[in-house]
Amino acid sequence: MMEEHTPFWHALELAWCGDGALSLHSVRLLDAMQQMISLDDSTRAAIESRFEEEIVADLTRAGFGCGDQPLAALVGTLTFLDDPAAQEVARALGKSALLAGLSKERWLFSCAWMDQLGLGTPFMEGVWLEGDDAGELARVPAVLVPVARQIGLINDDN
Amino acid sequence: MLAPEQILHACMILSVESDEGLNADLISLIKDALGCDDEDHAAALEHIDEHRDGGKWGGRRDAVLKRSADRANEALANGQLSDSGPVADGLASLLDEADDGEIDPFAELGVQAGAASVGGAADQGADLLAAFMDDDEEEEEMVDSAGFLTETIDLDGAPTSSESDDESEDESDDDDSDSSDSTEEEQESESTHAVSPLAAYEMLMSTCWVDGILDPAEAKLLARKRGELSISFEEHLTLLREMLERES
Repeated sequence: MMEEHTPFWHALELAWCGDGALSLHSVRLLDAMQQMISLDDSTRAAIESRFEEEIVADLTRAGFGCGDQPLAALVGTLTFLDDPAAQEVARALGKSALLAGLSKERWLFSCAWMDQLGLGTPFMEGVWLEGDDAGELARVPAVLVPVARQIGLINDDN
Repeated sequence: MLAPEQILHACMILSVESDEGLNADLISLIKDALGCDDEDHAAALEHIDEHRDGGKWGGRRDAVLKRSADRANEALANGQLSDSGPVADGLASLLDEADDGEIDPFAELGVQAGAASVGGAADQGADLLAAFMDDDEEEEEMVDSAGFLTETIDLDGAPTSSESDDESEDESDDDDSDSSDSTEEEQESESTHAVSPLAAYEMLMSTCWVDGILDPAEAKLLARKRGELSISFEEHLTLLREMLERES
């Protein structure tokens, strides 16, 4: 798995990179996120240790951890995972990725992101036209926006 | 031994395709030398008119000219046409023209005419040439025993079978009996080296992504192949992961 393309890595970026500080609120939000996406401790440890080595080491503190606000917004979007339609949405996103033209880089990014959310299999099935035909993607859930942006379905304008 | 009308037909083709066009005097001499009558001449001329296609011969000009030159040379070599006198001189001129621009297969293959052999250089050259010419199955199919094209070209340029196809096929059936054993061996050899379904699928998958972008048609093709080859989606993902890891 490409750790830097996972939601938890993205959460760490939100938590740390706003002002170079991690608030206690952010720590709790990260714990909550870990539970919501069923991330095991060892995987989280591997991601966090690499993040600290590669990113945190170069940060300069400029505040008191203002990153908790965008992080809270991200964690809030994870409620989508409880939606019964999440699997179908993932399939539709996979098919949309294919129709948009899927490069290897986009594939790897998308899989890493969707895998950590537990939606990797339906997404891959959608891409590779496996099983039932995936439906159309009506709208992109917030937690999947990074994937939709990566595969070219949406851009900064929309 | 070639039939006289075959030789006449070949000479007429060479003459028609020469820079000067059909040399009626030379053809008349050849016709007389071969003992052909006006009917043979007319039939050959009619066939040429029908198939010449403005000199393109249905896209097979080179093959037709080569076969005609071979027949003329054979007639000269076996004495059906005199190798001296006006007929020989005229034919030599036509054959020189037909040879213009041709690639020497021996030079291309790196075969030296003077190489030592049991039968001598000349024999070896002839044998090598014969072996080389034996590969011309395509030409065998396109020109029948009478030297006529076995296929006609329809208005769309697509070849259509002519009546002589059946005859040539019958002949080739007999000839093929000797080669059937070797063909079976080749098939066995091919089956021995058959690519496994997973390897074939992986090859197809890497080909589909060779331009760096997967499109719906490629995904459909791969999905269909998974079904045909009984490859599970899990196996597909494993192959894909391995392929991407190798490339990274």
